[in-house]
Amino acid sequence: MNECRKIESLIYLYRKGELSADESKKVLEHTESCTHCLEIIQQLLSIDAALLPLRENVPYLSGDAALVNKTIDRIAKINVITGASEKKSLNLDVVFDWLRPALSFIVLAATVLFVTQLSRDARKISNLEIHLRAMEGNVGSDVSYTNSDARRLIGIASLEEKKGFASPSSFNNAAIGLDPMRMIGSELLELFKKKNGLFDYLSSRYPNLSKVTLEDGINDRERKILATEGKALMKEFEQLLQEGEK
Amino acid sequence: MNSINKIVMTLLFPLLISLTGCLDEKVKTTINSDGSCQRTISMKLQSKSVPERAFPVGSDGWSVELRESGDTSVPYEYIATKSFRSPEEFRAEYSSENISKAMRIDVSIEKRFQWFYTYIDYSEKYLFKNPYGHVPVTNFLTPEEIEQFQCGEKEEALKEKVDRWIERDKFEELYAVLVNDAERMNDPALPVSLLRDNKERFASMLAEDDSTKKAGKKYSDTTLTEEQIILNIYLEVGGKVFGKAAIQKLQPAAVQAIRDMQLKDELIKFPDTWEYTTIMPGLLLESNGQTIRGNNVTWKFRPDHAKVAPYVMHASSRVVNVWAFIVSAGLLLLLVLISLVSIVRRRRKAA
Repeated sequence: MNECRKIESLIYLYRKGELSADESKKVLEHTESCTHCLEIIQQLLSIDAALLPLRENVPYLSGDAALVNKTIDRIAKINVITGASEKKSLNLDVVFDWLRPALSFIVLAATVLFVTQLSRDARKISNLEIHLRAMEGNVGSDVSYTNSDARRLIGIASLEEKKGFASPSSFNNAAIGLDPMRMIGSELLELFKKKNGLFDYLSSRYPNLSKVTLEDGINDRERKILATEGKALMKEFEQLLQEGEK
Repeated sequence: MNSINKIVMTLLFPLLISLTGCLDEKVKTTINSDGSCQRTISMKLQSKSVPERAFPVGSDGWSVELRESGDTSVPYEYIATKSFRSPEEFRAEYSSENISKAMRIDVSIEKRFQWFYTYIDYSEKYLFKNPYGHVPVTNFLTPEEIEQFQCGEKEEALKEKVDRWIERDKFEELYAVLVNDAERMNDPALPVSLLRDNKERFASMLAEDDSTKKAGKKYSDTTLTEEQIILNIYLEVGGKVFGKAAIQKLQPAAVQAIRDMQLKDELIKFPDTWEYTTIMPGLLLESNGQTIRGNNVTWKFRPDHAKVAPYVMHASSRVVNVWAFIVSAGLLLLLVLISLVSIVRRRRKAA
């Protein structure tokens, strides 16, 4: 197709015999293999042949000067309009050539900025949530549920103490293995499961206690954990409770 | 420290004791997306007069209202409100050194325009100007403990350390005066070395000794003034350490030092608690607040939280710039249109 396009531009000159010998040879060689271009040549030649008698009878216009001037004016006008539109078209192309990369850059920069802002802000919000969980776990902060949970646990411990199951220092090793310890253990586990923020805080503070399971009874290791970490947690709850009562 | 010793130390070095009852101050700030804000300071009072230790209180340009609270123990409520048109105006309100001689507030609201969002940063810092400053707090608390104390962690254990720091700082003030006076007198019966060598003994006796307990107990029930009680305890305990004759010689200097310290203590009287609530515009992104409900951030702290280190409250939020999204979408649309038109024109030319 590219070859045809090149030859087509030569065909018009070929028919008038204005091509060089080399160019004429090129056209002829191409038309031998290309029927499309051969058809064009034939059509042009037949048009030329049809126009020939008309060209020979050119009307005499020299007497009608007004018509000649009018025709020249119109041709001139057409030339001006065509030139202007070409110029306009050229300006628009230049504008587009500048605008497209500039706009592309702006849109790309805006997209990068937007994505960066979203990811950065998401990270900040995530850090804020972590901070809040930590604050909720802090003693003395505004955590209303901690007091009620502590109250219930201490209540169970006191009740069991009264029944004589546990010693006054209710979470000494001596008490481990008695039912109250299991009850308190299960309460603690419920507490661990109940609230996500509290769970995270307690898990970080009492890592072993959060792993204790009571379904299959308490083994020696779990008893030790309950006696150490469980005791520390209860002490913290007692402190919280006292503060809450104040 | 047991309770009786605490009473003695409190009498000797008056801490935040007030006979006017508990004073809890609430400060609510609403920040707008344009950086302007409105602040309301409120506190419940036993009488219509605002106590001296109330801080900060509204000065010029504040609309102050004193209404009945409906609570019989604290029947009045003081409410002061002021609107600030710009962050600069807000900052200027607290930049004055005259607000308090012992506490400074640095407040800032910053707007950061970042096309799609405008970020608002709020920060308020309570800076305590310690009138004593003999002992750094880090002698008693590690930086981690200071942070934990300000966050409200391990409250009781750390509070005790903070109290010990404040007491020691005041003791150093008193003792420096006594040593200076001994140097000035240059009395062979009262050598400076006697004071220097027995400093720690005197400090520990004031804090722990049984005689201090007895002295504190003996005088706390009497009608003596605070200054007289402190002086009597000083004479009794000091007499045991340095001898009665020596302590009598230092008495005038001690009286003056105790009076000066009482004047300094007048400067550091503050409300018992501050509760700051700040309502941020848009979506809250960062904060060191203790409780957060939506974009309401709350900090609750006591003066000693601000004494150990600057107490900083900060929060950041973002406000959506709807117009920026519209303009960006418009530019994207324009780019698509130009690209389409260019493609069409190129095809036409080729044809």
